[in-house]
Amino acid sequence: MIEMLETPPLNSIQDLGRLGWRCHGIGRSGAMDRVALAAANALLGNEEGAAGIEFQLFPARLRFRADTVFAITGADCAPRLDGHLLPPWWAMAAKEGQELMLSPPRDGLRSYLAVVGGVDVPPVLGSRSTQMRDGFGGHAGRALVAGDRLAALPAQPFTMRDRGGHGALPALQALAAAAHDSASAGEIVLRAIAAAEYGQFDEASRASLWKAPWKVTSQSNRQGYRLAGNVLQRTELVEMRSHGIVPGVIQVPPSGQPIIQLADGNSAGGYPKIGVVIEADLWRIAQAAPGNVLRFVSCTLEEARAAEREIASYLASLRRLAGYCRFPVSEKAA
Amino acid sequence: MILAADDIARLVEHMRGLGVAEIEIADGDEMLRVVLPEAMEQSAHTTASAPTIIAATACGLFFPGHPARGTAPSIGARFEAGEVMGVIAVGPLLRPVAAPAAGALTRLLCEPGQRVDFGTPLLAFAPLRSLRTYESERTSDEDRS
Repeated sequence: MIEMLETPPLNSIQDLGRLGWRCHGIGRSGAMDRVALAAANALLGNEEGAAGIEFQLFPARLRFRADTVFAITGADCAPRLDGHLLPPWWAMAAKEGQELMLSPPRDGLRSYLAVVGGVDVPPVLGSRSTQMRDGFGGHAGRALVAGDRLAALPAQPFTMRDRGGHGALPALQALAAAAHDSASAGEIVLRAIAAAEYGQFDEASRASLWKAPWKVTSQSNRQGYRLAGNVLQRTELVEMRSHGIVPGVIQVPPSGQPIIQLADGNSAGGYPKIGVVIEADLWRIAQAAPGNVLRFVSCTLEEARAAEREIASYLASLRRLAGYCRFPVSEKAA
Repeated sequence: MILAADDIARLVEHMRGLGVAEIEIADGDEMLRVVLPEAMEQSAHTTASAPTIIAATACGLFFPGHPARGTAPSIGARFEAGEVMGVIAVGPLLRPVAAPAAGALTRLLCEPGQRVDFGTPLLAFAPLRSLRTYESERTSDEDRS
C-alpha cells in the first residue's frame, strides 16, 4: 500500500513503544514525538498506538499503491501530494499511484506519517516499533530503504466530510510550554523533576541546571541528546552501580555535560542523574534540533500529572471532533 | 463542425480541472460555446465579474493560511482548485477553507484568529475566469494612483 521511493537512512516504523521489557534490558523505542504520532492516529480514527513512519531525515518520497487516507504530523515537512502543498498536521485521501514528497523542515526535526488502519508489520514483544540497536521489530528490524513496501491493517472504510481533508492544531500551538525566567524566544522550555543524585551536585551546578542555557549538540539522536553548557560537578564522587533508567533521565557523565536519555536510550546506566524531564515534555525534545537551546524548569509530580492530562484531553477532543469529519462506508456500498 | 464530440468531452474535463466555467471557440462561421452547469448555478447567485465570496462552513476561529505556517497568504496569491487557503479551528480540529476553483485571493474579510459562524464571509476569491478582469482592474487602479 506504501512504496518507499526515496529515503535517507534512519527513517523507521514506530508506534508508542515497547513497554514492560526494561527488566530484560529492552528499552521503549517508539516514536520520539509520541504526541504527533497519536494525533495522526486520532485524525484517522486509528487506535492511538497504531504504527506509523517516523521521518527524521529528508527528503523522502513514497507512493501510495492503493486508495487510502493518510495523516502527516510533527515537524512541518511541507508535504506535497502529487506536487500539491498540504497544510501541516493534516489528514487527506490519497488515490492509488499518488506520490507524497516530504522536504526538510525549517522548524522541528521529526515528522510522522500514519495511514488508516496503521502500518501492518508483525508486533514483536507487543510493539511494532523498530528496535534499531538489536535489529528487531518494525520492518525487518531495520530502518526503511527505497523499494520497501508496507501494508496497512484492514479498517472500516470511510469518506471524508471535507474533500480538502482535515487537520489538527499542532501540539506546539495547542499545548502551552512552561514559562522560564531567562528563556528567550525560540528556546525550548522543558519541565523537569530533581532526580535521586540531585543533592550530590554542588550548589552552582544545581543552580546551572535551572538557570543556564543548554545547547543541543550534534551528538543527539534517538538514543539521547548530549547537551553543552556549564560544567556540572558533584561535591564528592560516589561510585554507583548500574540501575534502571527511563526516557527523560538527565545523566551527568564525568565530563559534566548532561545527556538526556530518550526512546532508544539504555535500559540501565551508572551515571548520576541530576533530573528527569517529565514524560509530557519529551515530544518537545524530539523536535529540538542541534543548535537549539533547552531550558529546564522545576516542576512537581502533581504538575507533571496535570501536563499529561492536558495532552490526553487534547488528543481525546481531537479524536472526537475528527470523528465527525468521517462518514463510514459499508463494505457492500464500497 | 470544428470539434468532434470526443474533443468536446475532453474540453469539458479540462475546463473542470482548471476551474473554467465558460468558453467560446470561433472558427470562421462556426462558433462553439460551452457553459458548465455548475457555473450557471453559481452565476445565478453572483454576477460573472464579481469575485466569489467564500463563507464559513463551520463555527470556530478562522485562520487564513495555517496557524503554524506564520504569514497569511498575500492578496493575489494563486490557488489551485481544492487547495487549502485557510482553516477554521473547531477546538483542536482544523477544517479546510478550500479554493472552489483555480484562481486568486482578492481580499481577506476576517482577521486571523477571528471567531466566525456558519456563513460568515471569510475571503473574496477570483476564479480564473474572472481573474483577467480582476487583474486589469487592479492595473488600472495602480495607473490611477
